[in-house]
Amino acid sequence: MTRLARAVPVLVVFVVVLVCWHVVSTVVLSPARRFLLPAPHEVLLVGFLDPDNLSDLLAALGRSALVAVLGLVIAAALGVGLAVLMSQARWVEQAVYPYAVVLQTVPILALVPLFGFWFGFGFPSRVLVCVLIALFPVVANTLLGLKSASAGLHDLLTLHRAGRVRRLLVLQFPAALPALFTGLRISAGLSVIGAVVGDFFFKQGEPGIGVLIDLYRQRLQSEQLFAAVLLSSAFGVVVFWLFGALARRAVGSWHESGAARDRVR
Amino acid sequence: MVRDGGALLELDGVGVAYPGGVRALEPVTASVSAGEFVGVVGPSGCGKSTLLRAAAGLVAPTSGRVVRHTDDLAYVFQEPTLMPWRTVRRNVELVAELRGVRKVERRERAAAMLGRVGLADFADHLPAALSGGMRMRAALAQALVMRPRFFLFDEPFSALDELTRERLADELLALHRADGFGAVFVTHSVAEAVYLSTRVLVLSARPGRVVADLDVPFGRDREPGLRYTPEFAALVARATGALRAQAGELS
Repeated sequence: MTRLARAVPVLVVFVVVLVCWHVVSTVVLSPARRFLLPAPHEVLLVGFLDPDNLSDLLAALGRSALVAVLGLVIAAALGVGLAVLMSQARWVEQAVYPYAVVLQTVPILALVPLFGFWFGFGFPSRVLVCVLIALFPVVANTLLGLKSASAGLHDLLTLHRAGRVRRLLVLQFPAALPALFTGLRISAGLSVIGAVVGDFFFKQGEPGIGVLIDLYRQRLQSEQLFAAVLLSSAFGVVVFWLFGALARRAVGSWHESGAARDRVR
Repeated sequence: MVRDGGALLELDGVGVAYPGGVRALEPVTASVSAGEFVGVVGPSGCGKSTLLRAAAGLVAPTSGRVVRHTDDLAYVFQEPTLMPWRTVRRNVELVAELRGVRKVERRERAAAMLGRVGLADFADHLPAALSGGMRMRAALAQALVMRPRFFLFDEPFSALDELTRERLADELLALHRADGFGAVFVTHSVAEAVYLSTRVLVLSARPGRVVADLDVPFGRDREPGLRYTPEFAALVARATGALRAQAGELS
């Protein structure tokens, strides 16, 4: 199927949603209640095409993006580091992994007020929320990947007396790349959510997109509110897509889906 | 050139038991000399692979001792040990890389070996693009790249179809004729063991012990037609008989 043919159903759904949205806004809702769902063209005109609004939105998105990216980078470094440690010694895995699982099950946002007490209600706390929310998928997937190399390849390296570092570099890391990227992709999405939602709680300093969303909600500026929601969603989609593309580039064609295409029989 | 000579491997009462007391291998005493190609056959789960792993040092024997007179050792596994992210060339280079051979020399060695196993045109392919037989050839090239004196083969052709198995057996014979390495070849096919080997050890069902040690009197210049000669059939029958006899003992 060509790229265009694949895009057609997606476009059809997009148009149907737009039409439904427009009908609900202009026909179903009375003018007095139209602020609940402003028509698509109003969102476009007021939210995106008004230069003042747009610059506010983009500046806020930039600040949230910085928080999300920094949180993700720290989560990735920490997560990969932890996974490597766990893959090297069973006792480390047994000691640490249950806490990683607990971290995943604890509702991070419920801890947010505590972070505020400890680290203030500004930038560091926002980043911390992103780190904690994004950490587990990196740890779990990287560990899975590091352990995924075949027993035969491990035996081959044992036979040729490869040490831990060499085994890690030659075998375990490359084997872990597909899983690592899966983890990063999930974590990237979570980090964006963490950055936006964290804004609702941490309002000190320059406002992020979440602060703007909350502000527009309070002022009933629904066109701007919708524009901000759409922009942050688009940012999430772009990040997700970016990591998909990065994974394809890093892993190339050897992993599963791409691998079996032109096999010689 | 076949180099006959001193012992490469001596197994002196080597037995293996797994934690929990499951005995995988009864004490086995055997030796393999340079240039010798020893086939090991036995029923599934009899400890053939355990014997090989103990010989390689991948499993510690729980009794007896393993004496290897060479570290110049290659192991060919049941599944080709190819890294799916490396090209065939880089997979063949792997063993040389692990031994610390310089890049230029690695390249030369890999190219030569890929030529020998008929994969020169596939050097830049990923393993997933190759057929099962080609992947096993690549694994053979990987094992051969340092021209080792001693090979351990763990049912390398078991996952392949009959025709590919026979073709690879002939290629392996040719490599052995040329390089004269010592080898232990584990298989569950008696005919394959007889066709390839200078000697065949028959193991009993688990826990394995040697129930027959048969010399194979055919020279190393073997043709596929050998499989259809009465002498070959007689030897296969003897080895199979030894297998059946111990199976009869059990029942």
